Amino acid sequence: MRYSSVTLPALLAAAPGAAVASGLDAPVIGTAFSGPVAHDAAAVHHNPGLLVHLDRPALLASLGVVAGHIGYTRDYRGAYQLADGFELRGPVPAALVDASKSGEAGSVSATPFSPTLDVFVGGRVHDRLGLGLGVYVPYAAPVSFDEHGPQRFQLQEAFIAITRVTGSVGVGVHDKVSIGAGVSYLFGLANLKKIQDFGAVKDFSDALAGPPVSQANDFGPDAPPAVRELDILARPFSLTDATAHALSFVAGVHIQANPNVEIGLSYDHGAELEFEGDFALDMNDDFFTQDLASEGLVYAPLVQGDAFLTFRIPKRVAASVGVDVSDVLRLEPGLTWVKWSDVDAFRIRLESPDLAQPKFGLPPRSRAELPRRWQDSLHAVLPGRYRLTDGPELLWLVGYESPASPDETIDAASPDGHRLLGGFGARFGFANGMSLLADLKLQATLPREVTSSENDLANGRYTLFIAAVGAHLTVPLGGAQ
Amino acid sequence: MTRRALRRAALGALLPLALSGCFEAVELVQDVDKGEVQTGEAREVELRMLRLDVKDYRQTLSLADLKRLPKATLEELWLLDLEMLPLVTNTLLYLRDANPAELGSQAAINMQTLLKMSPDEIDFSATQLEELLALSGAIGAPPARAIADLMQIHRAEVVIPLDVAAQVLTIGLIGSHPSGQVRRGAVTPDHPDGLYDVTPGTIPVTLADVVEEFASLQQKFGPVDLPDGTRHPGFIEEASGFAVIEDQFAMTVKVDANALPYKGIDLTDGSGANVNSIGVQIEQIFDTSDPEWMQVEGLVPEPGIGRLTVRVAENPAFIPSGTRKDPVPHGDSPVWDLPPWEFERLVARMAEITTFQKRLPNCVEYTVGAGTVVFQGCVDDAGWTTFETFNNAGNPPEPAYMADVMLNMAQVRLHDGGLAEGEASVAFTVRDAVVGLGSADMVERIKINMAQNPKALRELAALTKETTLGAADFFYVRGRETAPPAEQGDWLFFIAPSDIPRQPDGSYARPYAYPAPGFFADEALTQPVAVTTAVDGDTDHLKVQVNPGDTLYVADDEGRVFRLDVGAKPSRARLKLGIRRLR
Repeated sequence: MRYSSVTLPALLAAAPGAAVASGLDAPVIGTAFSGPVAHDAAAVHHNPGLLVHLDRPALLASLGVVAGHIGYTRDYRGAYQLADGFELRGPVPAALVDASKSGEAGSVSATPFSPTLDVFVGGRVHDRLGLGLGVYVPYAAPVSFDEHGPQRFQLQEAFIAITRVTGSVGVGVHDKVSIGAGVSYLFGLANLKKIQDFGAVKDFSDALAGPPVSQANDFGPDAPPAVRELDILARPFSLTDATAHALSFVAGVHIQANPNVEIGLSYDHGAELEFEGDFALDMNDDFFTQDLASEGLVYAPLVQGDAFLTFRIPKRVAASVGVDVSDVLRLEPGLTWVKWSDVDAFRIRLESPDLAQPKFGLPPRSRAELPRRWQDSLHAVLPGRYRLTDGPELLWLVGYESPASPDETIDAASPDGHRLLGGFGARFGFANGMSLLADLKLQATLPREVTSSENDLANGRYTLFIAAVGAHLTVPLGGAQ
Repeated sequence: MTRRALRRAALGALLPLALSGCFEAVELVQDVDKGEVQTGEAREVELRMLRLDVKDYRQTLSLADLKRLPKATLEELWLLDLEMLPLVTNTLLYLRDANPAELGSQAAINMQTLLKMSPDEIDFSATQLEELLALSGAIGAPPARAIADLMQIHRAEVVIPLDVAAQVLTIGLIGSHPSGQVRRGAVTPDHPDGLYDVTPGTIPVTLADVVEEFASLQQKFGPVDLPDGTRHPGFIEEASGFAVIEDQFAMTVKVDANALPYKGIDLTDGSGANVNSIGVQIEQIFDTSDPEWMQVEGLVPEPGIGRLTVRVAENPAFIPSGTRKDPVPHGDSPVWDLPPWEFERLVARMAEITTFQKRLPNCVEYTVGAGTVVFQGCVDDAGWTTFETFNNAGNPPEPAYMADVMLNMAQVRLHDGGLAEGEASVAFTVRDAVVGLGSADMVERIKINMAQNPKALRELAALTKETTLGAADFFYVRGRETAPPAEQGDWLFFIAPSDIPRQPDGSYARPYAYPAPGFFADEALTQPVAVTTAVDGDTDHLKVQVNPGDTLYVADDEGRVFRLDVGAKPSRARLKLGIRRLR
């Protein structure tokens, strides 16, 4: 299994909406060098059409560690009222403006760290037939920020993982052309904590605007900074034990253009995932539990119930060309197009009898969206490998990935940017065709200065660095075909 | 096994990586009840001031809402003094014009007779003027003409005009009853006994009356013991079928206010408590210049009474007329010593008013032959009436005040039909009488009265917004940043009597039993430092401005004495206090 953590996938409760970080990037599955033309068992996922071209069935077992560093320095560019105030509309009087929320705030960081494990088995089982099965985690992110940091309204802590089990078959339709497809079952797990800003909650805004209080207010998803991040509206929220199930498929084509050139094309359909879990919302503030009781606003100190979070794992199309430049040198340049534009928003639904506030027109369920408006991303990689005489095979890659998150919606839960990739590995061969690949893959975004975040939610400077170290053992199954 | 447990089991089986996510859900930090603060014990508390400044906030009280409020509160919320003259006038009109067969009692019929009594219809027999019958031949004029001339009215004109009768009944009956003199209201420094004067001739209408559709009117104006040991018999025997409000009755006030309670401390255990903020703001939350500051809906256009029985008690004795003029204006007439609510006294007053409505002095002479005066009747400036005959024309009636003369006639006629003295108490029932004040005018009166005394709404507002929780001894107020500099900053307000909420049964939630209200600079509580200067519009509470490092002393309602140390401020509108119980 390969633990991929190229960017931070995180769920966000927005109102209490939810989101997945924009960085659910192109998965790196198998080894750092696996791909549509990489001859390993990870073809189960990357290109089922390649299965029939593997020398023989093999087991690819990966064990590794992912570690990273996510940095964020918030830049307050709006005018905020003092956090202990409760002005309903902006602009607020000068005496109530929080002078401390101006310019750069202290930096926060997260250092995700996690072991990884994934397993593939597959290869040719007949002249024109290849089969494979993989159990892997294409998306995962254990992240923990300072719970009091300026990013707390986006994310404090998250652990998200999606396990994918794929069974694939490849068929040689021609001596030089094979096709393949795989069916995947996706199982997702999500946990997150954040501070929910009720100032950004539409239901809250509507409740104040309607009877019985009937007060015009600036709250809601488009709330200006002046009415955001107020102490009483900053409610701790957690989503735990959220699970999702989905089916998907992959498909691929492999073309042996000539003895030295092969072409791989693959398509991953992605999936729409609806996580169902438990939410807990700390409403233990007098304002919510007693101060407006005579008006009918009485929340339980701890509101608990069911949460449903929906987001999409994007479709992606990858194309690679494998070129044997010489007997010892091979290059596998590739491009991947990821349709992040499918992700316009993250949607969450909360259900609990404790949410209902009938006098304020609030039902026992709440729906919200966190706009993402991501854009399609293009990934370009250039893996290569060089076989030393009587020595290990050396592998490397360089690459670039364009960002998915626009400046308007990026936040600390989805650090993103122009990403540079680099990797290095060495494969050691053993008797009976066994081999061990040790690799290191590094990703880093160029420092990203954001100044046009909507409503000043997340202006500031973002940095992201991720290192993945893995050991991948290939064990042939059966004799050479 | 719950669905949640099943899911966790599935996670464990399917996703070893879940082990990486040792994820704790949000949980509450439970407050620990530390119990009573012991002598020598110190605790730290934090207070905050949060404003939810609502504008044009409409607070509506439906009939159902009002009915849930303590009756004592409703009874203290005076809406208006309702002039009773129109109702009494309508009642007397009904009585005067009714078919005698429908009046039900001889007494009522006799009362009708009195209302319709004109000189032409006066039966002088057995009255003080009976001698006029004998004189009529001698003076050449019927007694009716003589008495009409003396009264300066037409012979067919009623002796006691209905408006006079209504006026006297209104003042005499209602004004003599304690419920027509004072009403209960909130205890204030200006009204420490909680009693307020009622406009003469009116009955005070409270919110309780409206909500209950005057169900207690009969009781309110029924028999009652008076402070001097006598007993007022009351005058409303039955009142039912009021049509005042409709089911959709509602009172709505528009306010600009901080809708959130203040946060205070119950020194007993150092726990937090809420204090309703409406009381502090009551002087400034209503913009009474706004015509819509108060709206009352659901009053019937013409409030009326379905059935009203009024009883006017008669003195058990026949009240003789006075025999001498002095002392003016009533001489020795015993009627003026009667209670003001008795029929005889009322009639005498009606007669007196009627007399003085005319030009005085007034003399009438009747002559015979060549102008020989045979009879002269005069009413002087004081109403003293004399009769003289000449040329041996007979015995003239004895002089008397005109009021006595008319009372005499009334008493005699009231007992026509065989009624004995004491049996002629007038009781008459009217049906479907209109109150005489339309709903629009009533609303306007209510608005005017409320605008003059918005504090009257304090308890009502506080009750409908029951935000008081716990038993705070003092609370924290942060002066507005836009207020004058002297009002800004952090203040501690000591609890005032008006902060103590009422319970559903009308009683107060707790007694206001502070031996030493306010804040002090010394442990012995001899150097008060609290003031009542205006802060946030409030001048009722004892308050003190505090700054970090200040030390104060305060006593709770059980005499425990505490030291307060003002700590560093966590934020602009938060205050940290150290509390140490000294004794």
